Amino acid sequence: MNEFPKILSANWGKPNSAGIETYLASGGYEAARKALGMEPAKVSQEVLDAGLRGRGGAGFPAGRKWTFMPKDNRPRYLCVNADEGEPGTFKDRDIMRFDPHMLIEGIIIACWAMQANNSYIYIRGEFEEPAKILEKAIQEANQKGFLGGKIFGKDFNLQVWVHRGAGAYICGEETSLIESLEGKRGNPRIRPPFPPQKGVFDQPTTVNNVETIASVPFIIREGIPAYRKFGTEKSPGTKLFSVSGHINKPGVYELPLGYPLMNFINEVAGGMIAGIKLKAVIPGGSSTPVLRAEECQNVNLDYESLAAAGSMLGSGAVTVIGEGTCMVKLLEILTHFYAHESCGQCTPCREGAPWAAQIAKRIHEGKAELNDIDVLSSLGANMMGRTICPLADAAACPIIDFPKKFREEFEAHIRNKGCPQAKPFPVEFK
Amino acid sequence: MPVKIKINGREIETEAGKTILQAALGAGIFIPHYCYHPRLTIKGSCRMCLVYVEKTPKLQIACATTVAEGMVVETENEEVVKARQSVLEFMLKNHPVDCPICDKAGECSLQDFYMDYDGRPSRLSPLDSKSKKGKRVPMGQTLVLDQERCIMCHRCLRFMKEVAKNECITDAKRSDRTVISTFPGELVDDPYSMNLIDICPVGAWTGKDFRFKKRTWLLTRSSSVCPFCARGCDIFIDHEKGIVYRLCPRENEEVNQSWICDQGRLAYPAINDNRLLRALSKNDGRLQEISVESGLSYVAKLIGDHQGKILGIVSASATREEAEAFLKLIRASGGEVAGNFRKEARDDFLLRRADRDSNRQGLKQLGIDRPAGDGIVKADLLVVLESLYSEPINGALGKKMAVLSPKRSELVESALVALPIASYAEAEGTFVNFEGKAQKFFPALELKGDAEPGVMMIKKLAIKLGLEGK
Ligand SMILES: Cc1cc2nc3c(=O)[nH]c(=O)nc-3n(C[C@H](O)[C@H](O)[C@H](O)COP(=O)(O)O)c2cc1C
Ligand code: SF4
Ligand code: SF4
Ligand code: FES
Repeated sequence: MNEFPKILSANWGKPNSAGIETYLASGGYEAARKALGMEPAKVSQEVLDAGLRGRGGAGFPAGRKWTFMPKDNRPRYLCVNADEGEPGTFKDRDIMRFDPHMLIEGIIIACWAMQANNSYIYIRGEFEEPAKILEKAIQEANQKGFLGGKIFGKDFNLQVWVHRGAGAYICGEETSLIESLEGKRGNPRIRPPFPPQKGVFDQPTTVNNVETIASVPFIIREGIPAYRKFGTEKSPGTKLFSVSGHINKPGVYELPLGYPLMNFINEVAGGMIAGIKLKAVIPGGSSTPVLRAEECQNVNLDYESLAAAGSMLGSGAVTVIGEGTCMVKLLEILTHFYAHESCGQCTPCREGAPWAAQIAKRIHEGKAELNDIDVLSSLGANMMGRTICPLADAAACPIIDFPKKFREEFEAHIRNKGCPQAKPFPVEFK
Repeated sequence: MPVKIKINGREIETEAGKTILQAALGAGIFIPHYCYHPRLTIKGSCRMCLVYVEKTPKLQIACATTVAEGMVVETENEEVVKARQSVLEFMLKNHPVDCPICDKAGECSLQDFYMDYDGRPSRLSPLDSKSKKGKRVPMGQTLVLDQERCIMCHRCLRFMKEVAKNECITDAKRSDRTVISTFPGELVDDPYSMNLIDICPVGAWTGKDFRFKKRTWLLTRSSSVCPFCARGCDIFIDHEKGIVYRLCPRENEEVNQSWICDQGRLAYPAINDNRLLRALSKNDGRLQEISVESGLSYVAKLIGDHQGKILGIVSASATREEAEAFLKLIRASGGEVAGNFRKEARDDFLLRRADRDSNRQGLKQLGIDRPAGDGIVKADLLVVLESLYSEPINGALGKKMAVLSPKRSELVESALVALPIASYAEAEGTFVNFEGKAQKFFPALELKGDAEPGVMMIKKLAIKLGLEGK
């Protein structure tokens, strides 16, 4: 790891970091005790003022989201989104593996703020180990009286449940997650109604990402200024970045928001693999727009800087693409993923993604004409902004961007009647 | 609360809470749509109804966007037209385009909207394949599904869940491999399942009985009322050259909404087959064809000979007009009139009534409320007015009997004389349903053979008996 301030990953290197005693020794559950002594609305306000934004991809202010919960007598739920299915994103997994109690404490605080008595952690089905660790941590927290009835002597009870998914990327989308949690097929729901009005079992529900919730205890324990000491004015705090691709040290890193992208790649993450040159970066998970190397130069890893560069911070999954990578092949792979994962409800997504995947494959194989590039781009344009959930937008984004930003490469495939390179990638991964 | 919006420059007054699509349709502005169905919950997935709404960054779906005061909507601007074309292009990407052999051809909204809003040549490269799915999946006793024609509007799923209350189908698999399917090892077994054929906007759900039988545009569509139970669902009789090919629901908010039951739908072969086309009289124990005129004289003679000892029995599915004329005739001849009723154990939750007759209430209003029972033994002559679906009468066989019937029934076989009358499909008349709602209908088909409308036949008898002037 690095020498940066550690909020989320503070305990990761410690022996038995997932055990409750380790967490307690580092001041764990003090924040929850403190929060339960506060007015619930005050807790939401603190989180809002700390500037914590959703880490699941969209970056919506967490404190504000909590205030959307109606103040009526219906049962209400917090769903923690641990589906983590997006290619390149693998940060929540480490929170759950190495410090599950930080997540649980965050859940207690969030549930108190929203006065929810039940919380579901919807965890990606393949995450067998993290699920077991979570189950054990919940048991420990129950035994200590941090969960269950009369928490910290308050007239407040809370149950936390782990629900394992069944292997669909789309179930990470919040309304699909809710359907799946209810035992149904994970087709996203049309909004309105939004989850705070009609969520799990038709009751008020908030869905937050694992990292969002795990960031909460620090804010409550240490206070707003302590949190805002890190990051930028508009993007305060720290964030986990999962870096993969043609990089020497792939992995999960906690950085203050606003850290320069190129420094991250070249210094923190050990630089480009085998000394190859940087070609492009997908900075926030496969759903965010690709940046060419020259577009990355002055970009910082925060919401505003990446937006200004035409991309997004997303989930903080930095995919590093080295020179020698065939962007047509990469598009084929990405599009194949979305084509496979579309739930199949919306016409543009169901038909557009697989069609685009077919064309990208043909271009790569040299069975295409110039016109196919235009058809491809127009399919992306026709998918964008026209569906129930943003999966189609995510799929459309590279379909539009790749042929635009790497036009010459696409045309070379047509001229050459196939990929001009001997291998689509400069390095073989094992 | 009234709300004013503007669609294509036209000011429209609508109600708060309505969607743009509802407001537009209400004002006679058509916005094409697939997944939207007025009787089902909003799905919002087909994307055919995309429209431009001023001050919103992207196109909105008209079916799920509620109106707001002062909203300005465009349904035909360039952006909308292009989006629509694109949706159609996507729908056709994996569609087999087997219209020449599709039962839905001619009444398919994929065909219609393609012609109305797109009409462009396909951009699909011959090198790109279409997704292969089940072409003829048996889905139950009466249904076959073509999964390749499906455009995934989910109307069928919502119908089974929300209307038929029987969640026996689902979408399975994902992406362009998604199919509508039953659960493993199960079939659709539901008294309303054939409504799926109507609400499916394309030819995915097909009825076994109609498959490959008739091009829809050759059919003539006539309005009628289902005679199969006391609900009296409004229906269409679809026919060609005097032959009925299918019955379909006709919308009526107060009676059957947009649905009919499968049993009523599948009752149509009785209109085509086994009809009584000639007057018959028994000679040496065998029925022989005679002229209607001779038949009328024979019946009149029998009635005249048995004054005061006649029991009239009328089917509760005869029209109110038939029953009225029949009652008058028999009373004038000194007879009594009883009803012939069909009955089931109970009503169901949707449409089907335990009373299996369409004019039960109409008979009641005439004071005909009980079955013949013992009266049959006491009577010397039975005069029976049958309908298409009336059942044999207990104890009637072997009695002296004159029958007016639209079909070659068991009673006709044992009658001394039988007169052919029109069925509801060839007659004009009224059914009074279980809620007292009188529904008038008109002939869908020409009269068959020598048959005449029941009312006419009875009138002619009355004239013969001197009860009525010419
Ligand atoms: C296709 C799709 C997949 C998603 N997958 C995830 C996921 O795995 N984890 C996650 O936290 N959010 C995911 N999201 C975002 C969620 O819908 C939701 O915005 C998020 O959980 C909200 O949490 P936050 O406000 O704390 O960021 C996904 C969204 C889409 C459209
Ligand atoms: S956009 Fe795609 S994944 Fe999302 S609801 Fe529509 S079809 Fe499903
Ligand atoms: S089978 Fe028909 S009704 Fe059902 S989803 Fe497909 S197109 Fe819609
Ligand atoms: S009719 Fe509006 S999305 Fe289908």
